[in-house]
Amino acid sequence: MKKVLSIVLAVAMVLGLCLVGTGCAKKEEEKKLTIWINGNDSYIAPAEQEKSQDQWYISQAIKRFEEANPGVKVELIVQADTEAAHQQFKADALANTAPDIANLWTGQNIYALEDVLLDITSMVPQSDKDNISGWDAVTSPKTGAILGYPTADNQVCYFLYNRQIINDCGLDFDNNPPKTTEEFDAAMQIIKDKGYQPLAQDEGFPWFGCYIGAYWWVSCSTYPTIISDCEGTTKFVDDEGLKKAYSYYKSTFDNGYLNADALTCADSFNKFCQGKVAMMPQESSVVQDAEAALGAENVGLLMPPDLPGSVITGKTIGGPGQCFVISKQTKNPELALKFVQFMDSKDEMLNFLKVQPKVPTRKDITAADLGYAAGSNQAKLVEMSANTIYWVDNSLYPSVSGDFYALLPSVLAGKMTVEEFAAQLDTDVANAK
Amino acid sequence: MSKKGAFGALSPQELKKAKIAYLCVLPALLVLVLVRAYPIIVVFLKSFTNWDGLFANDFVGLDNYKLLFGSGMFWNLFRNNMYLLLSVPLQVIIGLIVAVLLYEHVPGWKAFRAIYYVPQIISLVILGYLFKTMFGLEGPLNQVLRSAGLENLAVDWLLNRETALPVMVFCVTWYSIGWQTIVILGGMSSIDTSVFEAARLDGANFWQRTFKIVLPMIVSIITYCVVMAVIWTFTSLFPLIYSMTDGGPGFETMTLDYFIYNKAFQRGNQLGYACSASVVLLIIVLIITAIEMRISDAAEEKWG
Repeated sequence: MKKVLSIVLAVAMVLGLCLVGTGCAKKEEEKKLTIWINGNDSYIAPAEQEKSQDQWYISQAIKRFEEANPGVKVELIVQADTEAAHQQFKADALANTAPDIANLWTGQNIYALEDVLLDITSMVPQSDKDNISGWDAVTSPKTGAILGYPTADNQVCYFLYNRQIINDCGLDFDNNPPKTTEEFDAAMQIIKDKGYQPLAQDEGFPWFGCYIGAYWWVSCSTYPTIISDCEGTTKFVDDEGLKKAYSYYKSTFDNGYLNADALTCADSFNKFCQGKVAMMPQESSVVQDAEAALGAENVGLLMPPDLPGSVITGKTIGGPGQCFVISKQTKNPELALKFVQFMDSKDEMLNFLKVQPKVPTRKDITAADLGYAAGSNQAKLVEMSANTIYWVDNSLYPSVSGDFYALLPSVLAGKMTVEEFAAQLDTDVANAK
Repeated sequence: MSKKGAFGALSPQELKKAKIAYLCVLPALLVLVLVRAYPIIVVFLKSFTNWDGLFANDFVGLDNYKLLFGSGMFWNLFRNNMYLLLSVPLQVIIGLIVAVLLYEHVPGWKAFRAIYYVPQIISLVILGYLFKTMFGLEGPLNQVLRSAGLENLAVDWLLNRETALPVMVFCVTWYSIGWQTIVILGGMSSIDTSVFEAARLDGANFWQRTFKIVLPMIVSIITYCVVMAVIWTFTSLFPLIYSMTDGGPGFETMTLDYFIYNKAFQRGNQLGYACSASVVLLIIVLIITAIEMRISDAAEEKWG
């Protein structure tokens, strides 16, 4: 009996060692990437969030990448608070627990993280530089280092409008859109007089102020002035464009064109989709949902009107507002870059755009490739994307962007004047020095 | 104290017991020091730097404190915090009354006990959104006011500090009554039922029983409830504010703890500045707690 037991134990030990050995070998072969995805407005569409995670586009894309790269495991982490994700990434980088790849906002948001991001300048092939737009938004102005890849979505800002309401008011934005703010005011007054809410947005976070208000600002002041304001070379209080733009922005609220509960509500888009609102300052992510709710024929896009005396006219805010960055700490930089390049490849971007019909960052994808019918909103977005000025709020220095976002709603509410707002931004610049 | 020190008066057996007791406490103490004291020390040191969360970590002296107090921001935040403290007496008094009613087994007391505790099991974020909807410009409250002909009272409640803070006080009180009730009820279970019976026989009414019998007998429990409620109001209202107003418009409804999050993680990278606000918050909580303990000791001496 003892002999039998000894043999069984010996066999078990040998088998165990073999299994452990095999396991270790497998573990050595397997490479793991961790990726943060912005849960608000990037690769996960609102409609997708109602489905199980394995049905999301991003989960399917990860699966395709894993299949194409045996032995690679990609772990998806959804960052619900995109704004906080930048600081979270920083904290994780310090704690040595940063993800390999993160989907973050572009511009100053990532420039502030330059010390913990992988400089991929030498790793980006010329073909990608030629075929993908938005490299300026991910290239550090200080060092010239490329810090990430623009994501698939080339965003465009505009006024989303309900064609039925506009037509009911005797207006025709398709053929005779308001080109100036005077014309825009006149149109909003007509809409208001007809009993409709002309504009709506959840302005507790200044979306309108960033999508359109910032366009009015940059169109009057231009970028060099805004940057020199941020640097302290010039002052925000002396920036007439800033005052002009955000005074007009405030007037939309004072005149009752913007919804009276703009600063406290969270359902403006729902109201638009229910046909209760004529227009919404928006960006390209929501067109599909608006069309699904109101019918594509009832949804239109309007370029922002220009303020009198604007230096730049006929344009709007946009560009790749998001990117993929790679952590300096990653153990697999080449693999991480491979994943990012896979996400930005033509085939994969086409897959993404089937789920979320947006404007691609790849220049070799045309509206025709995507099946966007001529005259459709999607085709119009592609057309509009050629006339964008890069996101102003993404370009503001971190020292001022915090108060820019926090205090702009106060300007709208009349809690502070535009001059006081500008003075506070100057104080922020001075304090940062 | 004798020359022999704190243990000098103890017998060898007592000394051995005391050592064992200290050894038993030691692991928990070490964990506490590690997870509480160490971060507090680090935050204190960082509050004198321009730490941005990464590598900027230069000593800036009292600059962060000067900015906090000099800009007027601190007083704005502190005023909001103090305003929200109004919920503490409300929740404790209402909690006490409800606890006595439950203790006296009013009809349906078991159901009431569960109902009063329900808000406690709902996430504060969800409650925040519910209250945001309820007090919205087109929300149910304003609809009721309008239909009652009180159009002038139907305002955007969360738009102004003057109306938003009372709404928050109401929300916090509503949320906390259940917790207060359960804790006070637990304390009341130590009161001999014969005391109540005697009071009833002597003709004491409900209010007399509540404030002249129950209250003096559970002073220490009430102290605990007040201290915890104050600390909670200063340090844990974040999810409610996040979902109701996001501290806005501007900084109108922001509190000190929310400001710390705002500066450190939400908008900007002023972690050194946020650390200075954290130190100030810690000091405020310590001072208020010390004052409350003093008052409680005096009350216990008088009634206890």
